[in-house]
Amino acid sequence: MLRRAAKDCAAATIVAKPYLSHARVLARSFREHHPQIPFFTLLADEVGGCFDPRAEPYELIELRKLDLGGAREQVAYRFRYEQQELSYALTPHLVEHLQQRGYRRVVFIKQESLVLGRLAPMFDALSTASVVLTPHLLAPSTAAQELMVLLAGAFNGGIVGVAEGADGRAFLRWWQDRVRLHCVRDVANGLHFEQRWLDLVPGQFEGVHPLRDPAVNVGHWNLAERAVRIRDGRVLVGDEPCLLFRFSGYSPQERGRVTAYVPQRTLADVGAAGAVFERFCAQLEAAGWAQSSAWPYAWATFSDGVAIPPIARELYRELGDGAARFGDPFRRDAPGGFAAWLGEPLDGGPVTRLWQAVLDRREDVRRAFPDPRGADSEPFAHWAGLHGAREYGVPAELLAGLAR
Amino acid sequence: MSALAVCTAIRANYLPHARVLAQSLRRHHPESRLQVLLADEAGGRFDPRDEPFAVTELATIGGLGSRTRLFRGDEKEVVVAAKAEWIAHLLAEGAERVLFVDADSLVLGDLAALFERIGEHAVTLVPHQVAPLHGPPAIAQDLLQLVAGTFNGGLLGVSDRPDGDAFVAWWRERLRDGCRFDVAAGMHYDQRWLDLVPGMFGDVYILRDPAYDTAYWNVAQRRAADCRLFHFSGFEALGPWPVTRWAPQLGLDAMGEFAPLFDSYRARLEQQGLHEAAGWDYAYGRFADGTPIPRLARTVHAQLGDAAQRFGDPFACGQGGFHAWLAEGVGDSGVARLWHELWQRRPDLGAAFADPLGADRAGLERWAAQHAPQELGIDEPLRDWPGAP
Repeated sequence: MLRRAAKDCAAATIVAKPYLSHARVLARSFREHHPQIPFFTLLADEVGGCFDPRAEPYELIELRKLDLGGAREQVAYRFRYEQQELSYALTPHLVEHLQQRGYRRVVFIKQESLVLGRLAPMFDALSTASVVLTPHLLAPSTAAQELMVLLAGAFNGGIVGVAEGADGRAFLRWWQDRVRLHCVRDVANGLHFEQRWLDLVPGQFEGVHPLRDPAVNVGHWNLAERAVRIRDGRVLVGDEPCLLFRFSGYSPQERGRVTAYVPQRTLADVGAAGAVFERFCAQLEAAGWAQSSAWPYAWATFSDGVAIPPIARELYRELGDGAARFGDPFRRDAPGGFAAWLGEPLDGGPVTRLWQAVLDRREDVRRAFPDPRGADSEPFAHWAGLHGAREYGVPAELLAGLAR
Repeated sequence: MSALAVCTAIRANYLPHARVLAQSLRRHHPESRLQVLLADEAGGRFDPRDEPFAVTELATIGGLGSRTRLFRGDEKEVVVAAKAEWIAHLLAEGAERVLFVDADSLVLGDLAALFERIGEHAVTLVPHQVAPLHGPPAIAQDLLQLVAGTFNGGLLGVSDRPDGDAFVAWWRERLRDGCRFDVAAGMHYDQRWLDLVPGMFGDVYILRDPAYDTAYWNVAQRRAADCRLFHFSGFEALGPWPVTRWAPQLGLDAMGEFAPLFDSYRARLEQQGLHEAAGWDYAYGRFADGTPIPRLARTVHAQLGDAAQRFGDPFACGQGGFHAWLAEGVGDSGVARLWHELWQRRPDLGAAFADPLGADRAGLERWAAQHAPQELGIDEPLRDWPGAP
C-alpha cells in the first residue's frame, strides 16, 4: 500500500543550525528506507552562510516560507520562544505547509531520531486515520515511570502523522492555536512544550489513531518495555525489526548518558540498546556534528548582539496580542519598542519592569528586600547585579536603569 | 442483554444524591437497580434495606476496606479510590459490564445505547470535551483539562474481557498510593491516570457522544434536548457557589438552557433528606475517642509504610497505638511527635523555631495552639488532639 501511493507521502523534521547534523542523519536514514518519499527540513533559524542548502540530503524549507499568520507573527514567534521551544512550536505549521503543497500523508519526525526500517505502519494508518499518535507506553510500567509520562504527555511528539482532510486540518489549526503562546515546559500547570496538548486529541477529534506498534518510536522512556536486541547488525524489538529509534535528550557531548531527562542512566544500563546510541553518535560525527554544533542560533540575541534573557521572552508571551504594539522586538534601540518597555522604571522608581518581573517570581527576594524602591534599593541593585543577572541570564546591558 | 451493573460510590452524606440518581435511573430503566458502595458506615442513620438501591459497605469488600487504607486516605481520596475497588468487585461477582456513574448525576433519558456500547469494548472512557473549542477562553479551558485529565472519572464503562480486567487491576493498584491531588507530580486523584489508558490497553473506546456526561465544562457546546445524563460535578446544594465549587465564579446564567435543571435537582435532593444527611459525619474521620484525624496524621502513617503495622488498628487510642505515639514527647523534650512532624515538614517553621526541642519549644507550642487547627484544615478546638499543648 505504501509503495503504490507513496507519491502523496512526505516526511519532515525541524532543526536550528546547531542541530543540522541531526537533520542530515535523520534524512539519510529515512531515504535509505523510503527512496520514493521526499524528506524536508524546516530550518528554525537562518542559514547565515554556514552551509549550502543545495548540498544537503533533504529539501530545506526556510521559516519565512511558512504561513504563521502574517509578517508580524513571523517575527513574534522568533522572539516568543527559545530555540528548542520554537522548533517544537512550528510542528503543526510545517505539516500544514506540506499538505498545502499537495502531500496528503505527512509524517513529522523530531530531529534526534534514526529511521531503521520502512515506516509502513505509520503511512498505512494514515490512509484511514486523520491523525496518528504514538503512546509513550504500550503496557503498564512502574508507577514512577508512568508519572513521568503523565507529566510529559501520554503521546510522544517525536513522530506524528496527519492526513489531509477536514479532521486533520481541524487538528492542525487547533494545535497551532495552542502552541502559539503555550509551548513551554511548565508541568505544574499542565504544560510540556507542544506535547502535552496531544493528550486531548483523541477526545476532541475524529479519526485519531493511537499506533500501538512496539517497533515504532523506541526511546529512553520505553526501553525497559521493548526488549531491544541486535542481530546481524539489525536492531530488533523482540523479534521484529525496529523501525524508528529516538534519542530524545541524548547528546554526543555527553555520549555515555542515555538522556538528559534521566541524568544518572548510562549506556551500560540499557543493554543492547547502548550500541544503537553509539551508532547514532558515530553518524552524527560523520555528518559534521563538531562543526554544526558550534554554529550560532540566529535569534538568541537582540539585533545588536545582546543576549535575550528567557524572562524577557516570557513577558513577551504574557502580553499575547498586546505585544504587537512594540513592532520588531529584536530592535533594542527602538523608541517605544519592547526592550525600552522592559527597561522602563515602574512608579518612577529604580526598579525596571524586567526586575519587577523577577521580584514577582521570587518570594525570597521580596522578603530579603521588602522595599526595593526605597530603603532596600541599593542592596537590591547589588543583589541583581551579582546574583539576579546570573540566575536569570540578564546581560549587563539590561542592568541599566537599576539603581546603583 | 448480558449482566449489567450500574454503580456508584458515596460517603453517607451523599445518600440523597444516590437516591435521586437511583430514582432517575429507575424511571428510564425500571429493570436496573443501582449498586451503591458506601465508603463510610450507615451507623444506624439509615436502613440500607429501605433504600431504592443495593448498598455494600466498603469495609466488607477487602482491599481498600482495610483499616490501614481507610486511615491513610482522606475522605475524598477514599471515596474516589473506592471506585476502582468497586468495579473490580462487581466484575469478580459476575457482572459482565459495569457502568460507573458519579452519584451527583441525573439520568434524563434512555441509556440503552450506552449500556450496549460499553459491552462492545473492554474500557469506555468519556472525554471532558468531545470537540475542539475555539478562541482564547477555549485555551484556558483546555489548560484546566490538561491539569485535571482528558477523561472524566465520573462516567466510565468496563466489561469483563481480558483488557478490561487488566485495566481495573492496574488502576486499583495505582490508586493505592496515587489517588492524590498533586498536579506537579502528575496526579489528579483517579483521573490523570486515565490519560495513559488508550495507549496501554487494547480495545479502549472513547465515547464522543454529547448525550452523556453533560456538565458545567461542556454545557456551552450542548443542547438540553439531547441530554441523557447530566453530571452536577462539584455542585453543592447548600454551598455558596451557584454551579460548582470547582469554578466559584461561574453563575447559573452560564448554564444556559440547563440552568433550570439545577433548581429542580436541588429540590429533589431536599425531598430526599439533603438537610439531614449534610450534617452526617464521615465514619473514618475520627480516632476512636472522637478526636478528628488531621491530614498530617494520615500522611505520617502512610510514610511509615509497613513499620506502622506495630500500632495495630490506626484508629485505636489505647497504649502502644498510633494515636498515643503521636502524643508522645520526642526524646525527653516533651514536644508531642505530631508537632515535631509538622515542624519537620514546614521550612518556615524550621526558620522560626530553630531549636524546637529546646529553646524554641514554648514558641512552637504557642504557635501550634494558635494556628495549627486552621493550618491542618480542622476547625475544631485543639484541646483533644493527640499531644495538644
